Amino acid sequence: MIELQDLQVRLDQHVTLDIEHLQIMSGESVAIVGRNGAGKTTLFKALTGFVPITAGRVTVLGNSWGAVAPLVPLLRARQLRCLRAHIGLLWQALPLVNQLSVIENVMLGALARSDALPKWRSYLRWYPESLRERAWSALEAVGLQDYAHERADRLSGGERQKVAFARLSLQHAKLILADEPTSALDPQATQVICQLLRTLAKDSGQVPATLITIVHQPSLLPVLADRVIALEQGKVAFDRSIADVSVADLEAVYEQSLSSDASDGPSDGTSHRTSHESSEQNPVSVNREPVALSTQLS
Amino acid sequence: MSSPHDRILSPVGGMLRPVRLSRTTIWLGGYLSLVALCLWALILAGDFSFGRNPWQQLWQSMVELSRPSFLDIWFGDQALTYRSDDGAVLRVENRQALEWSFLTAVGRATWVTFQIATLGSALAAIAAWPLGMLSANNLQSPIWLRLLAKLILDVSRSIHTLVFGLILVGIVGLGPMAGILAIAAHSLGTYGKLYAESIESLDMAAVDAVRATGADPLQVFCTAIWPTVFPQIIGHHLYVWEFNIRDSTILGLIGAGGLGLLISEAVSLFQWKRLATILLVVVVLVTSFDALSKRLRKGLR
Repeated sequence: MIELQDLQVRLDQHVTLDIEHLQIMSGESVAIVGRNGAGKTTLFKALTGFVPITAGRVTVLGNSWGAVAPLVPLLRARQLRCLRAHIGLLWQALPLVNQLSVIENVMLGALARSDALPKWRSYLRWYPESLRERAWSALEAVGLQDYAHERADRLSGGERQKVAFARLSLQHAKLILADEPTSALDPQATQVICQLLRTLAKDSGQVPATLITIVHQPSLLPVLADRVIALEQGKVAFDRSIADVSVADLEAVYEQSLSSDASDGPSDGTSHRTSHESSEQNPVSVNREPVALSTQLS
Repeated sequence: MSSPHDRILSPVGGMLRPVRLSRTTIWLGGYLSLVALCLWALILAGDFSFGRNPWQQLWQSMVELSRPSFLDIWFGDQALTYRSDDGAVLRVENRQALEWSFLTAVGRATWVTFQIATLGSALAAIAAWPLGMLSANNLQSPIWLRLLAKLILDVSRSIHTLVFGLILVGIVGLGPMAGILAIAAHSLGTYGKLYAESIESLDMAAVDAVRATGADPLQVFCTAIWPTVFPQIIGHHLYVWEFNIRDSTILGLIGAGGLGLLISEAVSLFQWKRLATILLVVVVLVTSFDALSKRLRKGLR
């Protein structure tokens, strides 16, 4: 599904990514952790063709490319569009279109789905009623249905992140790349969105979508992922299933004590409940004392 | 590499002390020196002159222009008689009727001027759109096309409307059509530059977000680019249209129809009173269009 072979990405003479081999199968939920500058965003950009690779090979959803000369397109335009239609991005740096209403911004997620939105209607911005209803329910799921007809630039940062999520849910992507999707949200909203994200990946079609999230809050790891990959200065520091990841490992990655990063009360309770419902054997929550993540049993 | 402060030695109290001058001061000093140089060269060439009796000439012109001819519609002599030296009647004029017909001619010319401005602006607004898109830096157009578009727009902006008009009168003949094409040819450059600036000020991240959903280029344009850029385009169009109204008033000087022709006639025949009438009409036309366009642009926000 995703395979990186001897991948090297160099930006401005500085090697930003250097991965010998990485493979992610369809339907997996992976979390990427690491300090700022470790190469997490570069990895996402390399997977989506936003950044050229200097060496090695990338294979995503059946499309494969290697290092190419500058100005040479990576893939043929139509192939690239098709690939992008199947990859859903939830990045901080990709905002909404300010002049359009919130609900129209949500409906833009379906632009590539010509079954739900015929091309000629998208050129005229005359959206079908079924799509509009679908967008409305997506907004309801994140609690923003009252803002449906507001201009997108009237929303706060957190609300815009929620709208971006609603847009993603209309895209029916096979691979979801989320880069700190909840950074502007309060703890309660964070939990809601992370849950929704996980559900979106699981419930999408016959094969669950692959979900790769860049996370900074350890408390979100069990909600979002079964497998944790840590990046350090462009290289993979460790790549383990979540059961095998201890607080000490994470502390080593971030080089600071995580006891001060404990999330607040309500989310602790929620994560207990969700971890009961999930198939994981080891429910996790970060409390005041640093304990190995895998030894938390209820 | 260069330090923002330049040191200049200045004599203070007999000693030389370094004085720090900011970059702004340097630029200002340079500009003033340039102006002084131009003035000095003008004087040196003997061109700094206002002619003979400038104040008297000015006063005379003011007096002539202060009595616009249209007043004669009400106050004119209905039977102005021209007599020769020995008393024979040469001609009788009804000043009121004459001035009334002149005023209607001015009205018709104003309408032609307005047509020239409107049609020329509309033509340029449409034709400049592809050039503006090609010359914008952030739409990834091929470099040679971008430079070609920029060249066309620069040439169009550099050559004055009147010059285009002179050339076009030789091609399409006298009349408003030459005026329309001349206005279009010159404002093409302005429209193109304004369009390119609007496109360059687009939030490309938002456009990329739409592109990232797998949308095709036309979809990206219709949903992310056009709705953002369109209100700005309306503002640009009103601005250039207003400029063209002013520009069109003198196109008649070179035979392209409209008020310019009447101005040219009045000046050639030394009919200052009629010139006063025409100038008043021009002022009314431009200021009323200006007020209208301001109101429309306020409504846009």
